[in-house]
Amino acid sequence: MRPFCVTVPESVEEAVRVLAKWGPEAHVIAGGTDLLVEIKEDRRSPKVLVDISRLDELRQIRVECGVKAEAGAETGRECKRTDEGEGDVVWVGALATHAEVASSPVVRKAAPLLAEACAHVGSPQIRGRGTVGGNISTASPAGDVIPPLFALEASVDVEGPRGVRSVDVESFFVGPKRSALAPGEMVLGVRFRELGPNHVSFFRKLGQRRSLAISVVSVAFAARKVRPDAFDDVRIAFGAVAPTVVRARTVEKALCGKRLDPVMARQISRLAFRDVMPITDIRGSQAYRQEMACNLLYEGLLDLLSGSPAAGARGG
Amino acid sequence: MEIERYDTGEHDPREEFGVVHRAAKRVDGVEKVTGKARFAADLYFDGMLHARVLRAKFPHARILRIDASEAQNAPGVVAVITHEDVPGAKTFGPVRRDMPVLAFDKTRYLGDGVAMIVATTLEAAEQALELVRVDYEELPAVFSPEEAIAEGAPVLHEDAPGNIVNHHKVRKGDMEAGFAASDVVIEREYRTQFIEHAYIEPEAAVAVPNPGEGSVTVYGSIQNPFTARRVVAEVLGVSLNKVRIVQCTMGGSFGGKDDVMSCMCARAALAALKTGRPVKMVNTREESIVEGYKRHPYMLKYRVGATKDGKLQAMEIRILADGGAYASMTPFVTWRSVVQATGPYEIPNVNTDVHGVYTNNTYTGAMRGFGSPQIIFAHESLMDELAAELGMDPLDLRLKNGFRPGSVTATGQTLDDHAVSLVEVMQKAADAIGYREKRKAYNEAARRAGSKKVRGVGIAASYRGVSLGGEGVDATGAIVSVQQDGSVYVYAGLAENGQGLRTIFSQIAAEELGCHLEDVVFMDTDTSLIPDGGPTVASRSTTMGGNAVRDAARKVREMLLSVAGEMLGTSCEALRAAGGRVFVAGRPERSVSFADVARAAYSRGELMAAFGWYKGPKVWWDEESGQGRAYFTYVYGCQAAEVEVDTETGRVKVLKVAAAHDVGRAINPATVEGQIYGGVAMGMGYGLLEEVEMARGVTRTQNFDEYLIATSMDVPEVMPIVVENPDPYGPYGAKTIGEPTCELLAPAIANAVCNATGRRIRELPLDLEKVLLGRSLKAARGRRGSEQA
Repeated sequence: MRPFCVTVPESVEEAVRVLAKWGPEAHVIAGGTDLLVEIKEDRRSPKVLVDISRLDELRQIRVECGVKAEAGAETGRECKRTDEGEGDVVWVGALATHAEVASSPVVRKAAPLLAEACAHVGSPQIRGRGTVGGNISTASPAGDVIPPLFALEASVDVEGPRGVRSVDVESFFVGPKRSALAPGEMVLGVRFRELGPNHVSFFRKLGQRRSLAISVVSVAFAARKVRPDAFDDVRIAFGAVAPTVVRARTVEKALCGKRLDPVMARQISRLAFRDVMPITDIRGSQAYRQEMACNLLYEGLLDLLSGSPAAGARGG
Repeated sequence: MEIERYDTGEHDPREEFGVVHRAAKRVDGVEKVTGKARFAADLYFDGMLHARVLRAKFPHARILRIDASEAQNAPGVVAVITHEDVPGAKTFGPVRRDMPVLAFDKTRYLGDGVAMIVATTLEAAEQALELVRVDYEELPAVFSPEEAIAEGAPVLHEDAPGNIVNHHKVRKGDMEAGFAASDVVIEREYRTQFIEHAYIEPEAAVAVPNPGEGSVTVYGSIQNPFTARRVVAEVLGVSLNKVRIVQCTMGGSFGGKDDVMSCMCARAALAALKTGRPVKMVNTREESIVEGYKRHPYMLKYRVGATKDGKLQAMEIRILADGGAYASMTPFVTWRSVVQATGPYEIPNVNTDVHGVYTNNTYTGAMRGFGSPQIIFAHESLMDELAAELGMDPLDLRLKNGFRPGSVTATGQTLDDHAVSLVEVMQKAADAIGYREKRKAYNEAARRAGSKKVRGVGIAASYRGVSLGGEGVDATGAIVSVQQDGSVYVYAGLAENGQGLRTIFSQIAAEELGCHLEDVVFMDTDTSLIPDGGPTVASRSTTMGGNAVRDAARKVREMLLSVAGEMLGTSCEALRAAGGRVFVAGRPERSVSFADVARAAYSRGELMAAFGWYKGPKVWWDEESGQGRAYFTYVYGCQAAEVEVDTETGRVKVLKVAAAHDVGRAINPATVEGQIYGGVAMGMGYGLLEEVEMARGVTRTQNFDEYLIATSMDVPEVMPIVVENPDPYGPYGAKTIGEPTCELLAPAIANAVCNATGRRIRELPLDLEKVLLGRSLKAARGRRGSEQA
């Protein structure tokens, strides 16, 4: 571990100024659950840590009534929403902790899959310190907060020397632990449109144990139920099966409007093979992960079809 | 050789006690839960320096040159220490003296220490590590026992050709006749993994030079202070009385703070004597996992024959144990394996070979279980596989062959002087889990119904030799010292490792003296205050140390009763001591308080302290035939598990565990249950989650984000069943509980998973991939480090 300085800015502008001045030598720190480990292991050696934990405006979770969502992530989706533009937009600040998101009434109503994912990050201690902004900035393909944001077609608000910009979540992640953040930029928060009254969703995660486990595979699902056995506006994202979290567009397309029974759900889930490209690592092999992407999705679909109370969202 | 007859000691027929046989609060509980307990890393001395160790760069390499000149001149550095600074023995080891305190000729695994930096701050020491230049000649290495014993394999230690650490055998009966008499013969192969102790506190020690030449005191997280003392003295080249070891509060050990702590103590002592200042060493978690020894991976081949009605006829067993770079406890660990390898079953013909083998992996040694978890996984999986072959219920097969009073073990020992309670524990565990009903309900028909979640039940049973057995000298001591106000000190040669020894020993002292438990203070173990009582291992504390405390307390009581007799005007034979008073038997109104007796004894100038000693009953062993009285008594245990398997993911959820253990007598029933809960959690990790992954000698799982132990979310409901059949040797009939609790659950789970899915998994752990696919695809890439480059 190398020595470093810590600066505690009073405003986002000040934080951005420091980041711009030091460039790659500086690193934002909030909960520190990833960064401190990397510093300790000499995998990162920043000279300056910009501790943003006092920027309370970034801690908010709020409904932005009347604001239209960015339509950035519409491309590639086959079935268009008919309620385009309706529904509130929810903003989750970068400093909101996993525990805060998991218990937020706003998020639980607007995006239960995100609340559920946050409820299954790490342990109570990590959920109490780790933040949504940190999980996004770390950009791990196994980050549990990210697949729900893909399924919500969220956008990431970032601020840098050239001002504020909004990046759609799919473009934000460019590789394992690599994001589209330019030098001097930091994440302010994420925004997404709330799921409609007819939407259903789930988040599922497979880890080697029931808690405090990095995902072997995770899946986030959101769709509008048009019949008891059919969905449209299907948005599915997988974690830990590609260099970044990925949308499962082959599956989405196949599911849209199709009337499902368990056999059909199984067949369509198998298409996830085409959307994922996992690697073999200490947590699981490529072949197993491919299989699990399909099976997790299938299990989730079955629960939705059976109207099981476990549907909605679940992890662990 | 004829079995020697010996004194069977005193069996206490009492059923009523004052202090023992009752749940007592742990005497060291409050300081631990309030954070006031002081651990070695909390210690500070004026002028204290910090030392860091430079580790090996290659798992097998010749050291050509070590150049420390640049590091020597780095800021804050006070000394750089290499093997050249070792004044005494350069190597140590409990059986084979093969492990260097600092590597000098070769490195044999990546945890080897090559040099030490001693500096004014930890950071300065850390930074100077990079400045030490070491020239190596890399040597070909071996990463699995199979590679290590292959012809022409590179040799790690010149005095161990073929990389063999040791070979133990059992030869009983006539194998040919046994298999000829068998209607069914099956052959199976099982494998187990490297396991980390995962104690919450990594290794730590502080060495302080004493006034006077070459003398040092070492404080540390030390499991076996007397072992550490011997190693430190040998390395320093001084006599034992120049080294004082003081044990600090332990943040867990599980067998893991033996050799690795002896080594750390010796390094810290070297640094303290070289600099003349106190030196602290604390391992990071990563260092702890890379340097510290592991539980041995075993490759086990079993061949078993039985008649068609299920009577076992013959068992042939071949085991290879990966000993890693140094012998450590491998000879003793594999000895327990060879003794118990058949499991608790009567088999007339047995032929067992166990080899410990050197490899360039992290060395393996003592860990809770000590050679039993591996063989129990194998023989208990095998029993279920044989039952399936015979069309019998696995429990019935066990009941048919299980040890009963008078049974003869594989090593020719007749079990006739203690309660052989195998059948009792098996039935109690099976009943508690509802084995008979569930086994039927969770049959194949249920599987065919196509449910995603399938359930199963399974059991595993064992017998286990108590204490050291044929490993060596088995004796230990204690001091009980009563003060003039009636308060009491207890000192013991065995040490608290978190298992509850302080409480148990305090209870025994209070029981014998008749005082209150609150009046007893157990003192930290200090090698300068008490004779060498051997290591705190092999679940021997209560049996051995308990008898020593009892011996000491009885001697003091005798003196106190004679004083009380004078005070009460009666003979001391008529007196009883209990509940803080001494009274005339049957006439409790004629009494004096314990404190008054103590005061009177003090004013009369009586000796109020006594030394107690206990030497274990005789055991014997013949190395050639593998026959003998291996242990003086045994415990019997059975665990049953109920699981639910998710057939979509391979996830195994353990729903319930019943754990029945015969402990002889529970001195502290609360501690016994605590041991069972902890052992079950550890056994579950062994079965489902834990594995130190090593790839060509490199430890890939260096912290607890990747080395997964069971969390409170994973551990199921546990039903502890404490069975008590008092033993003739232990104090109040007490035997053992520490280790048997963690050796049974992995095979019980494997058997339950097989009952649920129909799939037999013969390799631990039963992680997601193995349960779903029957094998680990990720392991195929670099399994146990045996992959080729």
